[in-house]
Amino acid sequence: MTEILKVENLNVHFKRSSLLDLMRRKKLVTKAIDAVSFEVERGSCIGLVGESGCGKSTLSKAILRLIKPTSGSIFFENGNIQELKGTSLFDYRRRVQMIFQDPLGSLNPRLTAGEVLEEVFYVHGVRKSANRKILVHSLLDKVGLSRDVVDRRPGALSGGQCQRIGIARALAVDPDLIIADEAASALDVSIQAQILNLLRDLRHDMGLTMIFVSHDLGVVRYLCDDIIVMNRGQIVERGGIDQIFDKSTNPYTRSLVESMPGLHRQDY
Amino acid sequence: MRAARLLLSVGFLKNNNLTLVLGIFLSVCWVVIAIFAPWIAPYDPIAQDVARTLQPPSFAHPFGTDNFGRDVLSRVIWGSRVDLAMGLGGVFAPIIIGCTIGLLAGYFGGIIDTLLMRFLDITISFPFFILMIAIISILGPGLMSFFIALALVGWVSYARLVRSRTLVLRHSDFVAAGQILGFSSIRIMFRHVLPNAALPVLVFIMSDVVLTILLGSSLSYLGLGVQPPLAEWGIMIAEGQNFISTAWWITLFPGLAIVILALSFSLIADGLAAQYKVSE
Repeated sequence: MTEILKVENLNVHFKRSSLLDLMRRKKLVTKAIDAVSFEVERGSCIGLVGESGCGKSTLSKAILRLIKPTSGSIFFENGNIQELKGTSLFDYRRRVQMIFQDPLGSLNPRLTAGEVLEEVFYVHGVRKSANRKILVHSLLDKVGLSRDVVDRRPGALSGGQCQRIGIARALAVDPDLIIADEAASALDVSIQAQILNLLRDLRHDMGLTMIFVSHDLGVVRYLCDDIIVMNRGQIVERGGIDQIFDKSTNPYTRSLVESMPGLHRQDY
Repeated sequence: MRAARLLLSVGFLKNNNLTLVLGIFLSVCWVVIAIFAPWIAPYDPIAQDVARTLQPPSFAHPFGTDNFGRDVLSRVIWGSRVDLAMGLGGVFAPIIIGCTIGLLAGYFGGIIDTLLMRFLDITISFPFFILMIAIISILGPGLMSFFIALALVGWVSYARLVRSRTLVLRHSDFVAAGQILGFSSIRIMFRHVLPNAALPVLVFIMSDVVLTILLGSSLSYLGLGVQPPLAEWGIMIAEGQNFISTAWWITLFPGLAIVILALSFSLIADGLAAQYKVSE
């Protein structure tokens, strides 16, 4: 298998200097990402786990080029993403997409579901309105939504429906890599299962590569074949499901696994 | 557009937002009066009649006549055209300039934000009214100078309002989604950020229209705005003040007109603000 994404010695530091620190002439630096390296193989699903504040979201933002890393590089198909601009950056935008944690917040409250999806096709070159409508309909079928949601605004849709629109929007550009940032954790448990199943099916049908960011080990175990455990901006351990859940000797991984309700019991 | 307005007002009625309905009703009345002024007004607003000067209100002249024998009612009706145009036209350029500057500053941040906001600070460091008078004195009195002067100094409130909303919206997920999807900054700013920052701006526009009308009237009063013999409420009050002890009607009626027009827009602003809180 070939690697689609490679992160090399990535550092993202935030300066945080309060007035008191300035008076003491001291600069405090938060190392949100501290010397992180890993690679993602095409077609795989990586789970990125760790407690809140460990740098998972910062890492996804850096991969999506929403924030600039302090040092280190990210390669997508052997191209350094920091060097992209103009059309090559636009092409990268088409190939790497994200699904957000907050289904409602990820949609513009003033636009209907149909407008949200049509806009993506418009920006990516589908100029005929009729063609866009056909594409939107096929997209809605793909994520299991009925076609009458196109006229509704996010406020009139349920959390699960909003998340499906969010997934549809990400799929609209036919991406290779999808980063799902806690994609199901804001939803009810029953809806959560539906969304996770949808993501799993889509991944297999479309041959997507996924990075699944979560603090929920149960979800990651269900979806992913490879897990990266992060703590305080560093990678603690990387391994397959068996390695992380049963064989790990790393104390942080053990504590994370054991803190999952029911997971560490023999009869589970 | 008109259908949408109608639907909106019906929606507001359901929420028992009497303030807003009353405000819209009064404003619509003024707009109708302004549009149909030539047919409603019983006399020519600038036709002088030396035989009938300073007549008190009567059946023939319900609001009386002024010192040139002009019918005050007709002048108030024709004045609504000038004052509405002044209020609505006066806020137009400030809205466009202010929203654009606020969006740019809030969305891009950094050096662009710093430069634009310091420019804003310089503009507001001069007293607003004095600056207006100075600009109009340079350009020469008249409605056009008034609009230009407003465009130069009136945008600051809009810029601040839009900037503060943009700073919040810039970090929202739907803006991030747009960036990830490769949308241009202009598209994100005007299609995704601005519509979500528009409601507080709309509320402010309503009170700004009132302030602009009052400002225009006071400038006309000082002789810097609309020029006589054109009927404008500020001018009418200025001209009538010499006769205030003997012919009160010359100043009272245009004064009332200003108050009612200002009230109607203020009511809309209050109503919208209440509506905004309800829907949030």
